[in-house]
Amino acid sequence: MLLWLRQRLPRKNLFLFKLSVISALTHLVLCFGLFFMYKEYHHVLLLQVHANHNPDDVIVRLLPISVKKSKVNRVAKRTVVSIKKQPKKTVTKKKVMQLAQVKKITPKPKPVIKPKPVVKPEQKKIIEPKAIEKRQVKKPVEKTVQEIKKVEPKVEKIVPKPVEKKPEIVKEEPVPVQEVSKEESKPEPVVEQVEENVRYVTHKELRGIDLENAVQAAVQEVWAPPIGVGQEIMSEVQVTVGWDGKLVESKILKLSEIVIYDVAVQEALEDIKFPRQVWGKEIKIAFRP
Amino acid sequence: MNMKKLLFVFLTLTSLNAQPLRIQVGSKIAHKTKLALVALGNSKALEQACAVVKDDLEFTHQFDVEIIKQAAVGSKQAVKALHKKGYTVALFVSEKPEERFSELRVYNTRKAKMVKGYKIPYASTSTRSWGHSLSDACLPVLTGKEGFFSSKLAFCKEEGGKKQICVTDYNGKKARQLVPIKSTAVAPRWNNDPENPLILYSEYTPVNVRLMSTNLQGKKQVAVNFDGLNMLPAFSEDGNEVVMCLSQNESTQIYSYGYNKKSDKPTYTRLTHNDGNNISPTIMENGDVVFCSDYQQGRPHIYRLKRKRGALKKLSSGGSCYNPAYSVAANKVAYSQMLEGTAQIMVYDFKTKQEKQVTFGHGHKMECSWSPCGNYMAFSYESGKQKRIAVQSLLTGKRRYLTSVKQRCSYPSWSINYSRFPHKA
Repeated sequence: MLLWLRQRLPRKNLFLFKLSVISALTHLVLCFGLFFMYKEYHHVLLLQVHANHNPDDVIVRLLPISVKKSKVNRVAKRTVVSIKKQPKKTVTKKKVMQLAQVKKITPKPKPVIKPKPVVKPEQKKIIEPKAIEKRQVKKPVEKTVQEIKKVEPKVEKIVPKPVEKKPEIVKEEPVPVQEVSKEESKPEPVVEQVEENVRYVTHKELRGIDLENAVQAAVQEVWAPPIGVGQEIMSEVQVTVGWDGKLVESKILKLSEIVIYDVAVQEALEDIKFPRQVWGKEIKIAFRP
Repeated sequence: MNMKKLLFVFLTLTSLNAQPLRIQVGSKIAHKTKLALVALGNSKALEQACAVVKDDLEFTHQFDVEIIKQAAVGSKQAVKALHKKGYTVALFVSEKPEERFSELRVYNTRKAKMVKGYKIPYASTSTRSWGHSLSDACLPVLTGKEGFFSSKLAFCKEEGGKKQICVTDYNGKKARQLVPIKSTAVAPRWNNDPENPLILYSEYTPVNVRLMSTNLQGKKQVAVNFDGLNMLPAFSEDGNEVVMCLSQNESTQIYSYGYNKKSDKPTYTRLTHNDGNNISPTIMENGDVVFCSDYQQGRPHIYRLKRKRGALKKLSSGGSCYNPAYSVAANKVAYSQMLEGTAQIMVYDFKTKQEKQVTFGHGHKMECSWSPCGNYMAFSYESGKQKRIAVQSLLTGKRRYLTSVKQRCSYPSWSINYSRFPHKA
């Protein structure tokens, strides 16, 4: 087509044609970009805030941008699964420190006393020392497992004899590993309780939670529902917020049909100073006692 | 131009896609609603009726009521002026004696807009009855809960070593002894008949404990008079079915009362068949009976008898449980349970099938009885020498004592909400 155009059109017109095509393509790309940005922006705003949600009770943890990056971590997690049977648990820093301390202290007296249970874990380490070492070195994320295994190589050097006496038992790899996990399992129930309240969120959700909390805080300053109304009651209002954070327009979507409750909602609406995040926007607020 | 069109199309598409943010908010602080009760007129009857409405609404712990006298409703600005004084809601009450009704208007003072209006029969003979009916009419609009102000409480009062049956309004006012009894009378129960209210109670005689009935004028008669115990009758919500405890052969069983037209005699059908003591029956709306029995573990627990299957289901767990009372409105059964040496009131919800402790602290709370709306419960509170009747709101959790510290009262029983308030009592 271009060849045909070259033949037919003068150079000047050809240049203008090319320019227009390039500008059209650039506009198209820009429009797509804007479209997705706008969609993204509104997608965040569609999150809901729950009345009974107490931010103090739930620990919010931000998920990494992409989980695929850490292949090593995946391997580490698999090893943890085989040992502890608890694949997705993360431990708080304090507990990691406690575990680490316990294991750092315990191996030192073992070679001196030479009790039987102490010998068993040493044997395991001798069986596959390299493989374990490699895994341990690579793990930067799973602190519980890393710190436990970092201690082990020191013990290997100290106890050489008992290994020769019982070489057959050494072959049973999983058994000693389980014994180690039993020792560690004592604090685990506590960890589970903590993990129940952890909520993993993406960046979008985190922004939504911030917004929820901001609006909740602003509303709570002025929202005082009447005493003794049922917990199931709800009054929903659509609100247009001005650029000064004040109410511009409100439209009642759902009435509770309890006079004292609806009046209290209207009173609260007129006194709210909305947070900056919702200025100039239209929002729906569901008032719950 | 094409690019502009394209851009315009994209922008319109994206704006159509945009949805408003939906947020749910809750509050930790709840407060009483300030309410203006405006009496439109100067009659004494209206004034007294408004005083009753004020007492009724304040009994709920949900309102701070102030009575204001005015000649008429007035302009919008006059109504809005009430809002400036802090009254978010106003009740305008007027009377029309010649037309035999009174008018009640509920106003939203912020908007000066009438929310609802009622015409209520005017009863000049009893301002108490009139006031209670006004309160019963406005409470559902204000709070979304049914009224209970035209109900009554029966209870036992100890005087001179004997227990007597007394009747009072739901709030403990206008209490009076119903019938003079020479011996001891306990455990009064209402018959749930809205037209002909009767109270059945157990009276001690030298040979047995017989079941007596009396109307609110004090006219009594023997209802059931078998050997042993004849007590604790329970009526279904419509008042058509009765179950009661009768003791025979060293055990107490639950019987259903019936009437044989052919033989013109009452019949009693045994419902429980075990060696234990089965007492305090209460009837559910489907005819099932909830009662207290010690047949299984040697200590009392709450059971549900499914009449169709004849199966028994244990509802309570933990310590000993007594005095079950079922509420049709709430679909819950309340009972007393011994917790750390103190009797506390527990509520079993048939919807969620979970039990919940309602009362806490020292003092035994026993013999609970539900209000007709299912939001309040009356019980006897016993601490040291004190024995009082208390009413606790399940909505606010607040408690109010109806009898004084000096009186020793027990066995409260809450009646249904009467459409025609039995004001003679």
